Amino acid sequence: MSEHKLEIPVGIVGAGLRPEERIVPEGAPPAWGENQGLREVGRRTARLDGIEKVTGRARYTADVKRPGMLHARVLRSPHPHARIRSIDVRPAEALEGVKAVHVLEHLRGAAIEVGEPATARAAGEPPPLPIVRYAGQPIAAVAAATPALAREAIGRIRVDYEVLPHVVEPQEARRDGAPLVFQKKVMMAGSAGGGGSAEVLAQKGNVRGPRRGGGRGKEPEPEKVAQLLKRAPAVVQATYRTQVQIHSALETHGLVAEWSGGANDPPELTVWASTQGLYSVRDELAEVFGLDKSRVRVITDYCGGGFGAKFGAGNYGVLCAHLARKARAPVRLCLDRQEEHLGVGNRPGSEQEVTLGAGIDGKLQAIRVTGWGCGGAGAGAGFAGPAQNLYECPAIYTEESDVFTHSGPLAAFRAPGHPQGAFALEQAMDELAERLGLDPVELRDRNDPHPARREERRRGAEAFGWKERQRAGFGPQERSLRRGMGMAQGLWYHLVNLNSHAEVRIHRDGAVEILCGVQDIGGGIRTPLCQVVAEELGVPLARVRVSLGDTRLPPGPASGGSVTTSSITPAARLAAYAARQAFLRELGQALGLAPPGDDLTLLPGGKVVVERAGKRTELSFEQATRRMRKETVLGTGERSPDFGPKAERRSLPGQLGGVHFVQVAVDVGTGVVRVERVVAAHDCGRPVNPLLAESQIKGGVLQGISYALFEERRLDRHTGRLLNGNLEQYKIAGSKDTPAIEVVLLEELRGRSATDASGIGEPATVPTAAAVANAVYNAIGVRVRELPITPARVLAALGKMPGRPR
Amino acid sequence: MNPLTWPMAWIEALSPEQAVAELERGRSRVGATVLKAGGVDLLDRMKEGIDNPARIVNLRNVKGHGIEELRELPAGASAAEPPRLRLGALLSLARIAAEPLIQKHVPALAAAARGAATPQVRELATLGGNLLQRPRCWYLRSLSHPCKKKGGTVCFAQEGENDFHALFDNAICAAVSPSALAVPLSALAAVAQVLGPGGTRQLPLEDLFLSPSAPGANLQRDHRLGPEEVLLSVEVPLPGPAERSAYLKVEQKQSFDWPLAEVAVALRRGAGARPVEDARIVLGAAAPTPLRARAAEKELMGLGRLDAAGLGRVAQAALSGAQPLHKNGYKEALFAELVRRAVGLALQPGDEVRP
Repeated sequence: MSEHKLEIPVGIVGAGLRPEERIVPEGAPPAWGENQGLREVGRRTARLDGIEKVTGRARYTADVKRPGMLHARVLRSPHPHARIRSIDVRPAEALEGVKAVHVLEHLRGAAIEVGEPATARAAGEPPPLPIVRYAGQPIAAVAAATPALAREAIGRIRVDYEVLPHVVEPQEARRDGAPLVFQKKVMMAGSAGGGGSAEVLAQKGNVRGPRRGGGRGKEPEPEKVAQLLKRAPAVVQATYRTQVQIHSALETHGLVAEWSGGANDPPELTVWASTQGLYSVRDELAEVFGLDKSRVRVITDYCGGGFGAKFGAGNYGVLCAHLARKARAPVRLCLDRQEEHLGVGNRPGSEQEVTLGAGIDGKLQAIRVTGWGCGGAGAGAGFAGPAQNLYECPAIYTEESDVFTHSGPLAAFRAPGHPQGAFALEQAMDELAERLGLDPVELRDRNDPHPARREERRRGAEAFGWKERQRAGFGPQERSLRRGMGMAQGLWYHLVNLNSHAEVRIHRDGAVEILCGVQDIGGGIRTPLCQVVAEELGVPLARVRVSLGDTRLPPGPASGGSVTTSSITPAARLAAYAARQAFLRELGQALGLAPPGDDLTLLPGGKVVVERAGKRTELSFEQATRRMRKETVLGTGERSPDFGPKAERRSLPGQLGGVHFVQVAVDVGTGVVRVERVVAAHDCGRPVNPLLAESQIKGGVLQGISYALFEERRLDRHTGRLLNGNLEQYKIAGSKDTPAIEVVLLEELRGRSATDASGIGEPATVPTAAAVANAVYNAIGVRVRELPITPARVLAALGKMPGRPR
Repeated sequence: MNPLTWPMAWIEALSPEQAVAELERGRSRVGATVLKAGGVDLLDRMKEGIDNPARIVNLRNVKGHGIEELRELPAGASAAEPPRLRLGALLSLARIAAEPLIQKHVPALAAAARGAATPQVRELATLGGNLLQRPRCWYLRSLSHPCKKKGGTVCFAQEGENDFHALFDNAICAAVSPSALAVPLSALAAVAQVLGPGGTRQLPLEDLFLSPSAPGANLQRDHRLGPEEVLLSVEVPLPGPAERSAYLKVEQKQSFDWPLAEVAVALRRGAGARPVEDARIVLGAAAPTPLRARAAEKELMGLGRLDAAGLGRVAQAALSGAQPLHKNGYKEALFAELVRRAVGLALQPGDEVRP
């Protein structure tokens, strides 16, 4: 397609727009101006599927019932480390009502040893069974007539384990002589949500790496950093630790698999999956079963959250499809809450030493962050994104290693690595500000030229009342309560998935349909899709219906990396634009118009103006569609790369911002921390639906508070087994832990696509824990550098432990 | 045996006598017979696979002996029968929290009920179930940890993850008593009414619970009810004019969390040289049973003046006998602070410092 250069107004609405040159494909629809001048886009439209959801009519995977459907359950290893000598499934198969048993041949979702295990086998000899590397690792599964029978049957499978020594604490795993999780070098492919580590790195014992990095993609410069830190007038250094967090999506992982096709037809597989990536489920199942992608269909009407852990078919999905094939019946396999905690992903823990050097002018001179992450039997537990990309600094050096333990592997989790990295870096910045006698906002102003974050600091501070903040330990007091204020900032990246297509149909009755095979992970993408199409066609929102969540529809992006809105809404607008042209073409021909004298115009509001032989008539949208000769006209659209010139992901124009301001109350007698108030200032390009964007931000803040104060997966170090595999003992924020959250949402025109929308899901949770920690410091004058910030840790920081209180 | 493939009987009891009879009948059958009121805890345990009863006796529709009632009883002939409130074992926590009679006379009890669990759970959970539920120790609740309370030989908490475990009396089993209501009820000298095969008997609430270190203790029981006994009600003496009570707890979360520490105080104000004539201080989430802090009570009753230094000594005394495990030492600070606050609150109602 040919391109042309165009001047497009860009900038933050309310802070001045300026024209910038963009390279735009020929035939692209004209750029939209500010939201204020639009009809549907930019409106705070309540989610169109809200009533479906709150009335229980929305059908999630867990609700799917198929005729003759069987129920499956997974047998999991109770041991954190073992070799399997043999498995005898016959006692399970012998149970009446058991229809299929399947033993898992390959483990997914964990790091794999490179070159494993091409050892010579005699012909016909089965491949060796996977080594057990975490308690809860799936071994086999059973399909039976009832869930109870399936549960009973897995208890009858006899597994002969050779139990091996294990290690679940990263500090112990790092020591020489610790039981090894892997014998050889490993790698782990990332998912569409990020995470993973596909390169081959040095590996010694249970430590893999380090992986070295520099600022914004530059070469690492450890010597330069060391020299600058030696000379820097102000240096702060400390070690920070973060815990393992579980995704805890409301809907657990689950799948219903059904095979069709007979002896003469090729087999086809249909699955209903709770997933954030329809196509990654399809591709994985097609590969495992050697099917054409066209013969695997994946359906997700609604998904109760994923947060990064729901890409691909997973071990449970592969097991489920195997069982359905063996049993020749549909099989349902939905995990329970404990299984969610055992082995479908987590946010890895970390230990990071941060050193910052700055001049007395507050300008950063060097940043060094070194440490390790621990994602159990998974690789890629890094945290260096914020240190590498958030600030302008002449010398940056990061060093991240993986520490392996015999525990459930990591998965991508809402901004992988970034909340951990921000927790350390942004506390260090807070400390540096105090050392220099600078306001923390001012320190960021001197080091961070990102235009959106600059504006977020300004508007956020004003909305929050930041100027009321006092010196640490000197805030307002009420008996034993100490109040404090803190701020922190974060970043994410404007990412796009080009696998984004849409089709828009205009029917004779005036109904408009949009078809697009994106899934709604829970953020509510149906509504902005309808808004974009209604905007382009000028029809009322109520006339637009969306079909999504099915691989038979035009392909859509996986919902990972906060790409859904940025990828699919431009495709939808282009499809609507093409449909509009097809409609006008068809209408012109149906009316027998003779251009160039005659003309047709579609006005905002849906009215069609017909100019024929100098005479002007107006038709309503429905009057006009009824004149079509065809039942339906349609247009398709696909996501093209962002309008040039290209903005690199780590560069300032490639970044999304986010600044959080937090007020806490700390009870210094009990160590209990409560978050009282949050102002979260964010940018996501053009907010197509500010209400839903705010909802995402509030969710991110809440998950961040929960990470800061409560959540932590707990394992027993002696048994290597999980202790809190439920939402009672795994502490997660509840209604009374929810503070007042005010969102300051920028409208930023970036001139990058037909809708100019970016994502918001991930940036929303990056700064929260750091801002909470900074507010705790401001309240009590002592720093808590380890998550979660429990009463025990606060009391320890206050010197009230161990032993007797003061 | 898996309960779901084993034929499980569901028995609707209509009277306490019938429930007792079903328990007696269960003695000669294979598998356990259990009582179910709200079912909050029992169903959790069954789902976790740690309890697999063969027969469930549903108490939800039982009436009689006051098991479903709240009643104010006048003083009886003897001093052992002061005017009192009788709380039926089937009263919901929501009702106990909302009942004006309870709020007025025993605010500590209303506070404990109001602060427990969630609104949904409080509607379903009963007084009896709250008192007799099993501990929430995560080793007990984990099928893959065969601990002493499940018939095993190990208390995994001793060397394991014990930040939520007992600070006192923890040498044999370190699970803490989970009942929030037992804490103020023990402080208020409440008395349980129990029906068994031989008729009714009374049991002071603080004797209801069974310490693992008690002679002959059976770790698979957390209380002293006989295997064929049913809890009917709990009677709480109405406070006299100089008697006050208070209950405070510390939770990490403000929604749906088990307390890290609880303290209930019931005291009688005196005049002159003895400002506190009588006091009962009970610690919750401290030990395998609700725990009387007798040294603190003595210290409080011995105070000549109620000042900060004196309250500090009371708080210190509450820690006597504490044996911190390696991750729960912070509970010492919590209990000292809570005792100080709860005594202060009982002395000056309305002057609550929210923990």
